[in-house]
Amino acid sequence: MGRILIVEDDPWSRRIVCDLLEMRGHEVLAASGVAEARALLARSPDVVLLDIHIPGGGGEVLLREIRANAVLERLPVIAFTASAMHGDRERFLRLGFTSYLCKPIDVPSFGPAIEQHLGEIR
Amino acid sequence: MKDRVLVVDDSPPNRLVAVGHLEAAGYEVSAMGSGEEALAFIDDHRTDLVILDVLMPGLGGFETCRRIRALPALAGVPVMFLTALGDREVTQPALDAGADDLLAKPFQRAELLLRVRALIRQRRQALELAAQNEKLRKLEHDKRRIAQLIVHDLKGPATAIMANAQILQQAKLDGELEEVIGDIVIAVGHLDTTVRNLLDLSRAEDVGLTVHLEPLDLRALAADVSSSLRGFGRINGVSIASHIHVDQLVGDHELIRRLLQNLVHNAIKHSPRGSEVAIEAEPDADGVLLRIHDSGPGVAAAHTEMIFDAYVSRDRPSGGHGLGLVFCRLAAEAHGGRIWVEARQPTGATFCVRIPQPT
Repeated sequence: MGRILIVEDDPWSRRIVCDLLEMRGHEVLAASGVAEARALLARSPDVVLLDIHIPGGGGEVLLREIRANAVLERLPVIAFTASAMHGDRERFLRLGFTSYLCKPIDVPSFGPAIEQHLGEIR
Repeated sequence: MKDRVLVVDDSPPNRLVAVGHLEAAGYEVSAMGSGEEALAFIDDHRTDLVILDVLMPGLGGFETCRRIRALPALAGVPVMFLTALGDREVTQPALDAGADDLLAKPFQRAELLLRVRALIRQRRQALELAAQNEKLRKLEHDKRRIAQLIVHDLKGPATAIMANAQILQQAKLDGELEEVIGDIVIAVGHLDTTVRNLLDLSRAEDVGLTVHLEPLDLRALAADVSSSLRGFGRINGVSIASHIHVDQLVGDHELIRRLLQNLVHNAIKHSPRGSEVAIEAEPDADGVLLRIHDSGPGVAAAHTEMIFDAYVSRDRPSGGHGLGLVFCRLAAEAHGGRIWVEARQPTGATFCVRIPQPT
């Protein structure tokens, strides 16, 4: 079981992610913005699920901070986004995301998609 | 509030006559002796009408009029010439300088007042209309913004209901409950599609659809759309066939994909069980012609135009797809193309999209 940090400003989406992951036995840390997320990173999550469109353009800022931090550098960070435009996948990976998940959430595949990153070496 | 008239004439007696008549009729009048003075004055004094003499030392009437017309702040302020010259010498230059009216000297008092009243009345009405337009525009903008916010707020709950229903589906409930959950998933799916279409539309109406043109592999795109809708086709007992006779289409990947997706989804929905929906593409005089054919009830001739307009759906109860067609029209138009339906009642409908291609 893992400890997963979700950074998402939309309360509906945050709630669903928490429910889905807790039902599968994980511990979920939930943040609605960048400041909250920074504080929760100190609790050493195994995976971060990051909505890149949180207000203030904070998603990419937070990702850069994580990648620039010697301790967190290799933490798996999954982009969580409603935009699934052509070429977005390449853009997310180039930015430094480990992978990405599209909204709306596909319930059957959601848990496994997150869990595959739990075993990753940090 | 009194109407304000500016009289510009280099002859003091002439000024006195005009000013006298106008003041007696209740206007607030200012008088200037030259075009230069008038331009300096008018810049910071509200003026409802300018009366200009033609022959004046310095700038002269025509040039003064041209300069007034060049000032954006004075747009729409009427200008009338007073002239002792013959008609032929004055009419055309007055017109060219941007004047609204012309009165020959000597004039009668009533004649002057009649013209002045008409010009000021027109000016007042134009201002009122502009103010009302502005107010309506603002109201319309607010209304649209509110609608957008409401739709946006519907997205979260719809997603949550959908995800929760899917969780229940995974829990393997007994027969009847499973069916109930299935119905919830279908209903919320419709709601979700409608909400997304509404958001797409309001975004498109606000900023217009942006087109990023690139050469597209139309066969791959059609295959992509077909495979994403195969499941929906299976539920409805409808198969999808592609006949693409074009190697390449220059267009916006995302817009064309969603356009096809919408049209094929729509076609499946209106098709009888056991029938086939066909995606066809062929070169055409000025581009590529895409055709999506179904064997459904077709579209009544009276509806072939309005189904592409906002908020008219050919099947109101389930909603959503009417908006999808509006999106298709905007996407086709964003490419400089067009969409129409060949209604072949009762043998089905063919939705056609022509996308112009660079030569």
